[in-house]
Amino acid sequence: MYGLIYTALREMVREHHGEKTWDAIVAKAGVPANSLLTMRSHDDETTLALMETASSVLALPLDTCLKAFGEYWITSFAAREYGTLLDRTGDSHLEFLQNLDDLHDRLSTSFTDFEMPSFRVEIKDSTTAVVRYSSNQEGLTAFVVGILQGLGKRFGTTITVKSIVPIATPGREQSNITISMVEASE
Amino acid sequence: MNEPVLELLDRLFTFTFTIDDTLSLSRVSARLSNLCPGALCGANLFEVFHCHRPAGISSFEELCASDQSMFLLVSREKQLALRGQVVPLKEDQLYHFVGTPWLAWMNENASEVQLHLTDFPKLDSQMDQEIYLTSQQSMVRDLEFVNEKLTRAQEETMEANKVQSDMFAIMSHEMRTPLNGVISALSLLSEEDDPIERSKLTKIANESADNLLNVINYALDYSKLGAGRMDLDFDDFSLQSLLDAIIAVNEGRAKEKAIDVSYSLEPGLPKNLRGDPEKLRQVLINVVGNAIKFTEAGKVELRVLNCSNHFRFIVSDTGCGIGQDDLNHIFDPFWSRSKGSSESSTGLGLNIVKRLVELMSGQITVESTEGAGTTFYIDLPFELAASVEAVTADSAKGALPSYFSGRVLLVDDNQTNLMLGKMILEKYGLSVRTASDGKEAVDIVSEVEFELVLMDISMPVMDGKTACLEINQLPSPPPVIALTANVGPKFAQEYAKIGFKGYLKKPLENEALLTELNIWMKPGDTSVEPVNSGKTVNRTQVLTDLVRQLGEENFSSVKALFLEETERRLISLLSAWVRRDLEIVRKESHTLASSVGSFGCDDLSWRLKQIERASSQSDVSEIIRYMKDIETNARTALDAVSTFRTSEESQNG
Repeated sequence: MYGLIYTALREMVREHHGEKTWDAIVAKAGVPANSLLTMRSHDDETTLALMETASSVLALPLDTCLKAFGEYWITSFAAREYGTLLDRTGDSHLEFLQNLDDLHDRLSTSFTDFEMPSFRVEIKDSTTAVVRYSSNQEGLTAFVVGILQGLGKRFGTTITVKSIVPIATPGREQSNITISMVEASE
Repeated sequence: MNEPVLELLDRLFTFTFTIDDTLSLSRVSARLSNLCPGALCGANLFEVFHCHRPAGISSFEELCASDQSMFLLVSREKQLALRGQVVPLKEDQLYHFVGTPWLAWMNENASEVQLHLTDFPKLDSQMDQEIYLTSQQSMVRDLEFVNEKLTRAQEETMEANKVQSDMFAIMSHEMRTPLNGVISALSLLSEEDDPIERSKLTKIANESADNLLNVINYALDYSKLGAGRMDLDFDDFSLQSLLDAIIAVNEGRAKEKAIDVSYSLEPGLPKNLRGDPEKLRQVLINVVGNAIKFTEAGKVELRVLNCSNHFRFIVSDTGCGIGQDDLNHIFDPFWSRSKGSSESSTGLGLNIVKRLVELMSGQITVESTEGAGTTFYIDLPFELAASVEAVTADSAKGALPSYFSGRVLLVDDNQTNLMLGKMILEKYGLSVRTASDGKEAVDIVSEVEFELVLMDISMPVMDGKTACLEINQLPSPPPVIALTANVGPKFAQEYAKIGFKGYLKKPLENEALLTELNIWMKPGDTSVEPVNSGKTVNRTQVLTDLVRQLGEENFSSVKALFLEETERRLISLLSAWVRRDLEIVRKESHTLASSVGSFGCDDLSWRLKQIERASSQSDVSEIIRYMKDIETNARTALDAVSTFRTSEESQNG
């Protein structure tokens, strides 16, 4: 996984829990802090170790941490670091969802040593969509749920996960995530 | 017109339009019309767009001739720029522009126009470049972050190096001055025959050597604290004894300057505390010593208060005070006060004090008025010792029986201790026999029946532990109580494992002795006056108590024996130190610490214990530290004991 996940996690923990907590997480996970360059690929075990250590240090369930992190990722970190790219992906939550896979296609051309996740979005109606998530990285569905909820906040829409249906696929994590979308003004 | 081909072009490119030979536009794509409202059907190409590339074309023919070139078009309103090419189709003899946003120009000149991913065909790599550039910017930020950390670390290292260099420079200077004193005095000494002058030169050499040692000790402590190698060593301690020792150490210098130095304890203060007595001692000696250094007349007072969750030690003086500039830096390393004393200083003392106080989870503050004196406040969170006793509570006379019957064997290689102990035990009504080593004790117990054996640990021929083991092998062995300077749960466990039934701390404290006697001995006739069971607080008090316990005649005999034996052992200790025979140094300091403690020479006893501890660890620098003024200290203590007069002695002149 790319170091930008570390960077984002670092920013979130620093912002909400302080520098010392981050140092404690890195030390406990046994990850050398200076090696985590944003645009360098790191092995998945290190990523998971860091996530699990963060969960242990913050005394929160791993799923809760991942959701919070996904939301932080889309609303704060990516918005700050990759604002233009997000802006180009869509002017509304629907447009954004529809272009999400296109975005990852394009990212794949630059990050050649990392297999990007896939997000096929089927808009059922103006308030319901199914996100077909597929990744070779296991254990990050909760992170995607956080991203979807954060996306709602970005566009002033309440996005609620109605169901997550895992699809058993060897070596991959796949699930159909059904979401409801309600405009804030509604 | 070939509609299927045009539809294909529309699918492949976001921005398309057709140009006829009058340069009129037609089939303008929706997205183009949306972003560039002037691009209407029928509008003239060059009226809608400025052709940035190919440069200089203005006619249809020139356009046709450039069908292999890249076209960069910028709308006249400068809200949209396109990149693409013109494609001629044989079927309709028209030229068709196919292209995408010119991203670099748009980012630079029309960033407010929101372009979407979908504006960039899959074939177009401009988005890839943008993603790549964005990721490179992230990398740069990362590297800047790492670089900043490295720069900070480098600055800290440089600062640390500077501090170390400063320390070397200051220490070298501070060492050179006394070292010159030693060298010069010794050099002159070899050429001097006059005994008075020789004595003066020897004194200069000694004093200079003492100063040099002080500087080295500061440097060692500073280094230990800086490296985090200074640990706390918790123990129960008597506050009064510790403060007595602080005053004793400083009273010589105070007398030289005719300054009063004293301490007082708040009524109700616990008598015994738990903490690191050595660190507290080091802190207070330093602060009190400093107060004396900067006071030319008046007094230095040390007060102790019991605050809600800590103890406050207040050291105030009537000295020259500290100016505001100095006050701001008073705890900085290598900072020396600009005025107030002619004595040289390493500038480390108060820095070490502050760090020691912080090591003990306390804090130190200072208030001062220039010309009116200075007050240091040291707040330390000591715990109460296991045996809580209040300072003002008069020592209650023994509720326990204080007269017994039975036979006790007292074993100690120190003749003074033997005589003293024998007399005390006899005063309690006991029949006492003595032995000078473990072997002799085992032999006596094998032949004679005793109710109790009081056994020193460290002795020649056979030590107390071995003797205890051997005695316990005998049929019906008497209980053996260890007499030791080593106390604490660790030693208690060790002694119990060996077979000791208990232990008594040396020098013997009446209260603890009575407790043990009450356990093992039968009560005797109570008509004999009980001895005072109160704890002693200073040398005069100890000696007065001894006179009361032993009687004046016995005390005089014991005192003479004590002085003679202490002199002898002191010479043995110093000789062993000169030979660097650390085993003898350890043994002699152990024996001496206990006997001088019995005569209330607390400070001397404490120093000897430090020497014993350092010897057992072969820590030569620590031995040097405590050995340096042991002779002077012993001389002062022995003089005080020697000149102490019982009323009988006083009457006899």
